[in-house]
Amino acid sequence: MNRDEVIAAAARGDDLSGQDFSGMDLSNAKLSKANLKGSDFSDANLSRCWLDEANLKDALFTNADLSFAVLGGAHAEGADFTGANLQQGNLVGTQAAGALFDGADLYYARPGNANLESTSFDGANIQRTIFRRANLSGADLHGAEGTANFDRANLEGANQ
Amino acid sequence: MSFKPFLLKVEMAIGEVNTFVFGCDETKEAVLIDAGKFEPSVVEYVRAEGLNVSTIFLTHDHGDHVAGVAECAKEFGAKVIAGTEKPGGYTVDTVVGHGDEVKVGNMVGRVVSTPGHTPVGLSLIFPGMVFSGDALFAGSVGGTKSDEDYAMQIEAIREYLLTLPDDTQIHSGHGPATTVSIEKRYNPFFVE
Repeated sequence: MNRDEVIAAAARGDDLSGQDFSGMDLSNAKLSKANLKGSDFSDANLSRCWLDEANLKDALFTNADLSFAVLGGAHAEGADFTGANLQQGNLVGTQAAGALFDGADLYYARPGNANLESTSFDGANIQRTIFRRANLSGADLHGAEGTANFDRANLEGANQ
Repeated sequence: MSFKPFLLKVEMAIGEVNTFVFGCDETKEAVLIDAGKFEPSVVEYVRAEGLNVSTIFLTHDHGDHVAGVAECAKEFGAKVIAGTEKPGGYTVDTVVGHGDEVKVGNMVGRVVSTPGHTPVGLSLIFPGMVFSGDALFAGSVGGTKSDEDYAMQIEAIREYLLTLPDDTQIHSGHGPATTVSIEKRYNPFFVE
Protein backbone atom coordinates (compact mmCIF):
# COMPACT_ATOMS: atom_id res chain seq x y z
CA MET A 1 0.00 0.00 0.00
CA ASN A 2 1.21 3.47 -0.73
CA ARG A 3 0.29 6.63 1.17
CA ASP A 4 -2.79 7.44 -0.90
CA GLU A 5 -4.07 3.89 -0.64
CA VAL A 6 -3.66 3.88 3.14
CA ILE A 7 -5.57 7.15 3.48
CA ALA A 8 -8.33 5.95 1.17
CA ALA A 9 -8.62 2.63 3.02
CA ALA A 10 -8.86 4.43 6.36
CA ALA A 11 -11.57 6.71 4.99
CA ARG A 12 -13.57 3.68 3.89
CA GLY A 13 -13.21 2.10 7.31
CA ASP A 14 -11.20 -0.86 6.03
CA ASP A 15 -9.46 -3.09 8.54
CA LEU A 16 -5.81 -1.99 8.56
CA SER A 17 -4.71 -4.09 11.50
CA GLY A 18 -1.44 -6.00 11.37
CA GLN A 19 -0.09 -4.10 8.37
CA ASP A 20 3.49 -3.02 7.72
CA PHE A 21 3.69 0.76 7.36
CA SER A 22 7.27 1.03 8.54
CA GLY A 23 9.21 3.93 7.06
CA MET A 24 6.15 5.30 5.27
CA ASP A 25 5.44 9.02 4.98
CA LEU A 26 1.98 9.50 6.47
CA SER A 27 2.52 13.03 7.67
CA ASN A 28 -0.72 15.04 7.85
CA ALA A 29 -2.71 11.93 6.86
CA LYS A 30 -6.21 11.52 8.23
CA LEU A 31 -6.47 8.07 9.83
CA SER A 32 -9.02 8.98 12.48
CA LYS A 33 -10.86 6.01 14.02
CA ALA A 34 -8.95 3.55 11.82
CA ASN A 35 -8.33 0.03 13.00
CA LEU A 36 -4.53 -0.14 13.04
CA LYS A 37 -4.19 -2.72 15.78
CA GLY A 38 -0.77 -4.35 15.82
CA SER A 39 0.43 -2.48 12.75
CA ASP A 40 4.08 -1.55 12.33
CA PHE A 41 4.87 2.18 11.97
CA SER A 42 8.54 1.90 12.87
CA ASP A 43 10.55 4.82 11.47
CA ALA A 44 7.42 6.18 9.79
CA ASN A 45 6.75 9.89 9.41
CA LEU A 46 3.45 10.48 11.21
CA SER A 47 4.01 14.13 11.95
CA ARG A 48 0.65 15.94 12.29
CA CYS A 49 -1.12 12.70 11.40
CA TRP A 50 -4.73 12.33 12.59
CA LEU A 51 -4.94 9.15 14.64
CA ASP A 52 -7.68 10.35 16.98
CA GLU A 53 -9.90 7.61 18.36
CA ALA A 54 -8.01 5.04 16.28
CA ASN A 55 -7.33 1.50 17.43
CA LEU A 56 -3.57 1.44 17.98
CA LYS A 57 -3.42 -1.47 20.41
CA ASP A 58 -0.05 -3.23 20.34
CA ALA A 59 1.08 -1.12 17.37
CA LEU A 60 4.79 -0.42 16.86
CA PHE A 61 5.91 3.21 16.65
CA THR A 62 9.61 2.71 17.38
CA ASN A 63 11.59 5.75 16.22
CA ALA A 64 8.55 7.12 14.39
CA ASP A 65 8.01 10.87 14.02
CA LEU A 66 4.72 11.65 15.76
CA SER A 67 5.39 15.33 16.39
CA PHE A 68 2.14 17.29 16.56
CA ALA A 69 0.24 14.07 15.78
CA VAL A 70 -3.28 13.74 17.13
CA LEU A 71 -3.73 10.55 19.15
CA GLY A 72 -6.43 11.93 21.42
CA GLY A 73 -9.00 9.35 22.44
CA ALA A 74 -7.08 6.59 20.67
CA HIS A 75 -6.71 3.12 22.12
CA ALA A 76 -2.99 2.43 22.28
CA GLU A 77 -2.81 -0.17 25.02
CA GLY A 78 0.45 -2.08 24.76
CA ALA A 79 1.78 0.08 21.94
CA ASP A 80 5.51 0.58 21.62
CA PHE A 81 6.64 4.21 21.26
CA THR A 82 10.29 3.50 22.05
CA GLY A 83 12.48 6.25 20.63
CA ALA A 84 9.52 7.99 18.99
CA ASN A 85 9.34 11.74 18.53
CA LEU A 86 6.11 12.78 20.26
CA GLN A 87 7.00 16.46 20.61
CA GLN A 88 3.82 18.51 21.09
CA GLY A 89 1.74 15.43 20.39
CA ASN A 90 -1.95 15.34 21.29
CA LEU A 91 -2.42 12.41 23.66
CA VAL A 92 -5.47 13.85 25.39
CA GLY A 93 -7.53 10.98 26.74
CA THR A 94 -5.37 8.39 24.99
CA GLN A 95 -5.86 4.94 26.48
CA ALA A 96 -2.32 3.58 26.56
CA ALA A 97 -2.01 1.29 29.56
CA GLY A 98 1.11 -0.81 29.36
CA ALA A 99 2.59 1.20 26.50
CA LEU A 100 6.34 1.77 26.22
CA PHE A 101 7.72 5.31 25.90
CA ASP A 102 11.35 4.47 26.64
CA GLY A 103 13.66 6.99 25.03
CA ALA A 104 10.73 8.84 23.46
CA ASP A 105 10.71 12.62 23.16
CA LEU A 106 7.52 13.96 24.73
CA TYR A 107 8.59 17.60 24.90
CA TYR A 108 5.44 19.70 25.49
CA ALA A 109 3.23 16.71 24.61
CA ARG A 110 -0.31 16.75 26.00
CA PRO A 111 -1.41 13.50 27.60
CA GLY A 112 -4.04 15.15 29.79
CA ASN A 113 -6.61 12.71 31.16
CA ALA A 114 -4.79 9.86 29.42
CA ASN A 115 -4.67 6.39 30.89
CA LEU A 116 -0.95 5.66 31.15
CA GLU A 117 -1.16 2.97 33.80
CA SER A 118 1.89 0.71 34.01
CA THR A 119 3.72 2.54 31.24
CA SER A 120 7.48 2.97 31.03
CA PHE A 121 9.32 6.24 30.37
CA ASP A 122 12.91 5.16 30.87
CA GLY A 123 15.16 7.73 29.22
CA ALA A 124 12.18 9.67 27.86
CA ASN A 125 12.22 13.46 27.60
CA ILE A 126 9.19 14.73 29.53
CA GLN A 127 10.21 18.39 29.64
CA ARG A 128 7.00 20.48 29.78
CA THR A 129 4.81 17.42 29.15
CA ILE A 130 1.33 18.11 30.48
CA PHE A 131 0.16 15.01 32.39
CA ARG A 132 -2.78 16.87 33.92
CA ARG A 133 -5.22 14.34 35.44
CA ALA A 134 -3.49 11.46 33.68
CA ASN A 135 -3.54 8.04 35.27
CA LEU A 136 0.12 7.14 35.79
CA SER A 137 -0.46 4.54 38.45
CA GLY A 138 2.29 1.97 38.40
CA ALA A 139 4.19 3.86 35.71
CA ASP A 140 7.98 3.78 35.61
CA LEU A 141 9.11 7.40 35.42
CA HIS A 142 12.42 6.78 37.13
CA GLY A 143 14.65 7.34 34.14
CA ALA A 144 12.60 10.13 32.58
CA GLU A 145 14.28 13.48 32.10
CA GLY A 146 12.83 16.96 32.42
CA THR A 147 10.22 18.83 34.41
CA ALA A 148 6.62 17.94 33.61
CA ASN A 149 3.20 19.11 34.77
CA PHE A 150 1.60 16.41 36.96
CA ASP A 151 -1.35 18.53 38.15
CA ARG A 152 -3.93 16.16 39.65
CA ALA A 153 -2.33 13.14 37.98
CA ASN A 154 -2.69 9.75 39.64
CA LEU A 155 0.84 8.70 40.53
CA GLU A 156 -0.09 5.91 42.90
CA GLY A 157 2.58 3.26 42.79
CA ALA A 158 4.53 5.11 40.13
CA ASN A 159 8.28 4.86 40.24
CA GLN A 160 9.57 8.44 40.10
CA MET B 1 -21.66 26.94 -6.05
CA SER B 2 -19.15 24.12 -6.11
CA PHE B 3 -15.85 24.57 -4.35
CA LYS B 4 -13.30 22.71 -2.29
CA PRO B 5 -12.98 24.72 0.87
CA PHE B 6 -10.22 23.16 2.92
CA LEU B 7 -7.51 21.82 0.74
CA LEU B 8 -4.81 24.35 1.29
CA LYS B 9 -3.76 24.66 4.82
CA VAL B 10 -0.49 24.62 6.62
CA GLU B 11 0.28 25.23 10.22
CA MET B 12 3.71 26.16 11.30
CA ALA B 13 4.93 26.35 14.81
CA ILE B 14 7.00 29.51 14.74
CA GLY B 15 8.91 29.18 17.92
CA GLU B 16 6.06 27.65 19.88
CA VAL B 17 3.26 29.76 18.44
CA ASN B 18 1.15 28.44 15.60
CA THR B 19 0.51 30.43 12.47
CA PHE B 20 -1.95 29.10 9.93
CA VAL B 21 -2.33 29.71 6.24
CA PHE B 22 -5.81 28.57 5.32
CA GLY B 23 -7.17 28.93 1.87
CA CYS B 24 -9.78 28.28 -0.76
CA ASP B 25 -8.50 25.82 -3.34
CA GLU B 26 -10.72 27.19 -6.07
CA THR B 27 -9.72 30.83 -5.84
CA LYS B 28 -6.29 30.40 -4.18
CA GLU B 29 -7.29 33.15 -1.79
CA ALA B 30 -6.06 32.57 1.74
CA VAL B 31 -6.15 33.95 5.23
CA LEU B 32 -3.15 34.09 7.55
CA ILE B 33 -4.29 33.41 11.07
CA ASP B 34 -2.10 35.14 13.65
CA ALA B 35 1.21 36.76 12.85
CA GLY B 36 3.51 36.48 15.82
CA LYS B 37 6.54 36.82 13.65
CA PHE B 38 7.40 37.50 10.04
CA GLU B 39 8.56 34.09 8.91
CA PRO B 40 10.21 33.65 5.51
CA SER B 41 9.10 30.01 5.36
CA VAL B 42 5.48 31.17 5.38
CA VAL B 43 6.18 33.48 2.46
CA GLU B 44 7.92 30.65 0.63
CA TYR B 45 4.93 28.39 1.20
CA VAL B 46 2.49 31.00 -0.03
CA ARG B 47 4.57 31.64 -3.14
CA ALA B 48 5.05 27.95 -3.86
CA GLU B 49 1.33 27.26 -3.62
CA GLY B 50 0.43 30.31 -5.69
CA LEU B 51 -1.76 31.72 -2.94
CA ASN B 52 -3.06 35.20 -2.47
CA VAL B 53 -3.09 35.99 1.23
CA SER B 54 -5.77 38.64 1.15
CA THR B 55 -6.53 38.71 4.86
CA ILE B 56 -4.70 38.47 8.16
CA PHE B 57 -6.92 37.51 11.06
CA LEU B 58 -5.65 38.11 14.59
CA THR B 59 -7.25 36.06 17.34
CA HIS B 60 -6.11 38.25 20.21
CA ASP B 61 -3.75 41.06 21.14
CA HIS B 62 -0.73 39.33 22.56
CA GLY B 63 2.72 39.97 21.20
CA ASP B 64 3.46 36.36 20.34
CA HIS B 65 0.46 36.42 17.98
CA VAL B 66 0.64 39.92 16.53
CA ALA B 67 4.24 41.18 16.58
CA GLY B 68 4.82 40.30 12.93
CA VAL B 69 1.59 41.76 11.58
CA ALA B 70 3.03 44.92 10.00
CA GLU B 71 5.65 43.03 8.04
CA CYS B 72 3.20 40.29 7.02
CA ALA B 73 0.57 42.81 5.90
CA LYS B 74 3.16 44.65 3.82
CA GLU B 75 4.57 41.47 2.28
CA PHE B 76 1.20 40.07 1.27
CA GLY B 77 -0.67 43.32 0.70
CA ALA B 78 -3.30 41.90 3.01
CA LYS B 79 -5.99 43.65 5.00
CA VAL B 80 -5.85 43.01 8.73
CA ILE B 81 -8.89 41.98 10.74
CA ALA B 82 -8.95 41.80 14.53
CA GLY B 83 -11.16 42.31 17.54
CA THR B 84 -9.42 45.50 18.62
CA GLU B 85 -8.32 48.60 16.76
CA LYS B 86 -4.59 48.51 17.44
CA PRO B 87 -3.27 45.08 18.35
CA GLY B 88 0.41 45.43 19.07
CA GLY B 89 0.15 49.08 18.05
CA TYR B 90 -0.81 48.22 14.46
CA THR B 91 -3.94 49.94 13.15
CA VAL B 92 -6.12 47.25 11.61
CA ASP B 93 -8.34 47.65 8.56
CA THR B 94 -11.45 46.12 10.10
CA VAL B 95 -12.55 45.48 13.65
CA VAL B 96 -14.85 42.48 13.93
CA GLY B 97 -16.82 40.92 16.72
CA HIS B 98 -19.12 38.07 17.59
CA GLY B 99 -21.35 37.05 14.69
CA ASP B 100 -19.38 38.80 11.96
CA GLU B 101 -18.31 36.94 8.85
CA VAL B 102 -14.89 36.71 7.22
CA LYS B 103 -14.80 35.81 3.53
CA VAL B 104 -11.85 33.91 2.13
CA GLY B 105 -12.39 33.14 -1.54
CA ASN B 106 -15.55 31.08 -1.65
CA MET B 107 -15.42 30.28 2.03
CA VAL B 108 -17.16 32.16 4.75
CA GLY B 109 -15.89 32.03 8.32
CA ARG B 110 -17.92 32.99 11.34
CA VAL B 111 -16.40 34.98 14.18
CA VAL B 112 -17.28 34.02 17.73
CA SER B 113 -16.22 35.78 20.89
CA THR B 114 -14.06 33.65 23.19
CA PRO B 115 -12.63 36.13 25.71
CA GLY B 116 -10.97 35.38 29.04
CA HIS B 117 -7.33 34.86 28.13
CA THR B 118 -7.56 38.45 26.89
CA PRO B 119 -10.47 40.87 27.30
CA VAL B 120 -11.18 40.52 23.59
CA GLY B 121 -10.54 37.11 22.12
CA LEU B 122 -11.89 35.73 18.87
CA SER B 123 -12.24 32.31 17.33
CA LEU B 124 -12.88 31.85 13.62
CA ILE B 125 -15.14 29.02 12.53
CA PHE B 126 -15.31 27.45 9.09
CA PRO B 127 -17.33 24.33 8.34
CA GLY B 128 -15.39 21.45 9.91
CA MET B 129 -12.67 23.62 11.35
CA VAL B 130 -12.15 26.25 14.01
CA PHE B 131 -9.17 28.45 14.82
CA SER B 132 -9.38 29.03 18.55
CA GLY B 133 -6.40 31.26 19.31
CA ASP B 134 -5.42 30.94 22.96
CA ALA B 135 -8.92 30.19 24.26
CA LEU B 136 -8.88 26.42 23.85
CA PHE B 137 -5.91 24.09 23.49
CA ALA B 138 -5.59 20.34 23.22
CA GLY B 139 -6.26 19.25 26.78
CA SER B 140 -6.12 22.74 28.20
CA VAL B 141 -7.40 26.31 28.06
CA GLY B 142 -5.69 29.68 27.92
CA GLY B 143 -4.37 31.24 31.09
CA THR B 144 -6.55 33.88 32.72
CA LYS B 145 -5.90 36.62 35.26
CA SER B 146 -8.97 36.23 37.44
CA ASP B 147 -11.74 33.82 38.37
CA GLU B 148 -14.17 36.00 36.42
CA ASP B 149 -12.05 35.81 33.29
CA TYR B 150 -11.70 32.07 33.72
CA ALA B 151 -15.44 31.60 34.10
CA MET B 152 -16.09 33.78 31.05
CA GLN B 153 -13.66 31.77 28.97
CA ILE B 154 -15.04 28.40 30.02
CA GLU B 155 -18.58 29.56 29.30
CA ALA B 156 -17.66 30.87 25.83
CA ILE B 157 -15.83 27.66 24.93
CA ARG B 158 -18.73 25.53 26.11
CA GLU B 159 -21.28 27.63 24.26
CA TYR B 160 -19.56 28.35 20.97
CA LEU B 161 -16.85 25.74 20.43
CA LEU B 162 -17.83 22.52 22.15
CA THR B 163 -21.28 22.72 20.57
CA LEU B 164 -19.77 22.34 17.10
CA PRO B 165 -19.97 18.90 15.42
CA ASP B 166 -17.78 16.30 17.10
CA ASP B 167 -15.42 15.87 14.18
CA THR B 168 -14.68 19.59 13.90
CA GLN B 169 -10.94 20.15 13.89
CA ILE B 170 -9.64 22.66 16.42
CA HIS B 171 -6.46 24.54 15.58
CA SER B 172 -5.07 26.45 18.56
CA GLY B 173 -2.52 29.18 18.98
CA HIS B 174 -0.14 26.76 20.64
CA GLY B 175 0.43 23.04 20.50
CA PRO B 176 -1.18 20.31 18.43
CA ALA B 177 -4.54 20.23 16.73
CA THR B 178 -7.47 18.47 18.32
CA THR B 179 -11.17 17.85 17.78
CA VAL B 180 -14.38 18.83 19.50
CA SER B 181 -14.96 15.18 20.34
CA ILE B 182 -11.62 14.83 22.13
CA GLU B 183 -12.03 18.04 24.10
CA LYS B 184 -15.61 17.34 25.13
CA ARG B 185 -14.73 13.87 26.34
CA TYR B 186 -11.28 14.34 27.84
CA ASN B 187 -10.18 17.95 28.35
CA PRO B 188 -9.50 18.11 32.13
CA PHE B 189 -11.07 21.56 32.29
CA PHE B 190 -14.41 20.30 31.00
CA VAL B 191 -14.79 16.80 32.37
CA GLU B 192 -14.71 15.57 35.95
